[in-house]
Amino acid sequence: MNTLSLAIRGGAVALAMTLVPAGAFAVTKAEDIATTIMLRGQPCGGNAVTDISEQKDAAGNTVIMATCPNGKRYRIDVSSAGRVSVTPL
Amino acid sequence: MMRLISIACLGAFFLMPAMQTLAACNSGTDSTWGTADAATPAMADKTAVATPDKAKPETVKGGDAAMQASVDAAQQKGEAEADHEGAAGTASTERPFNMNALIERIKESHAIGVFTKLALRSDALDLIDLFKAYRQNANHITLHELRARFDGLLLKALALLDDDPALSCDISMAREGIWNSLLEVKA
Repeated sequence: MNTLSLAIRGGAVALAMTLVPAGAFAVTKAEDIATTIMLRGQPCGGNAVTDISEQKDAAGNTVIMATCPNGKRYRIDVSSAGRVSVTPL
Repeated sequence: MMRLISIACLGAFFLMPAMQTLAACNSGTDSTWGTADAATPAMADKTAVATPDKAKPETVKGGDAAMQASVDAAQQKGEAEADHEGAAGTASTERPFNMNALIERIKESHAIGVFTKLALRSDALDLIDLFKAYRQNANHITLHELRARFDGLLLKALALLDDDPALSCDISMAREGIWNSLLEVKA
């Protein structure tokens, strides 16, 4: 009986793990912003930023300030049309 | 005995998805390709399905002699690569793909964040602007340089989608189809 319940539990755990897709573990905002900075050709020195501040204006434009692990601070502008630009501060 | 069965079950559960993805990516007879279209049947019906064979004649129509020559060179290069890949490779490059379904899958993927997706989109829009400028002869960029930029952008996308191997695999296999779609961009 014990081995049967163990087998059932093992099967259930395996099934649960396979039902969760590999990409279900979403990236954090800090990682997302760091990737964006690097994608736009700026050095960051790590995969997560710190000191994130976000502002959104009435027109729908978003301005994000963040500091990379290498100490550089960047301004990320996301226009209402979805265009992203990164400028070092 | 039961323990052996449970171990076998665990092994099968963990190995099968990875084996399927690998087999799909290598052989070109993947299930994910079909599921992308099957997941969005309405979209698959509405959107134009671009095939390399269909795209090539349209690409050559409106261009000047120089552009036509460079497009022909690119086509010859593509055909040479396809021949080099062999029968399986040729079959995979000739398969139709659904651009909108791929875009939707990138949008829905959890492998990359929202800002990264927007940055990728910005890069793609910049590339499309370059194609438009190329069509209008507004800049001195060559088709070879455009291809290099396209390959660079695709590599970036594939590297970012490392946690979504099925999508990464499908984008990789749709490379020539995406390139031919970009060649159709009107000025």
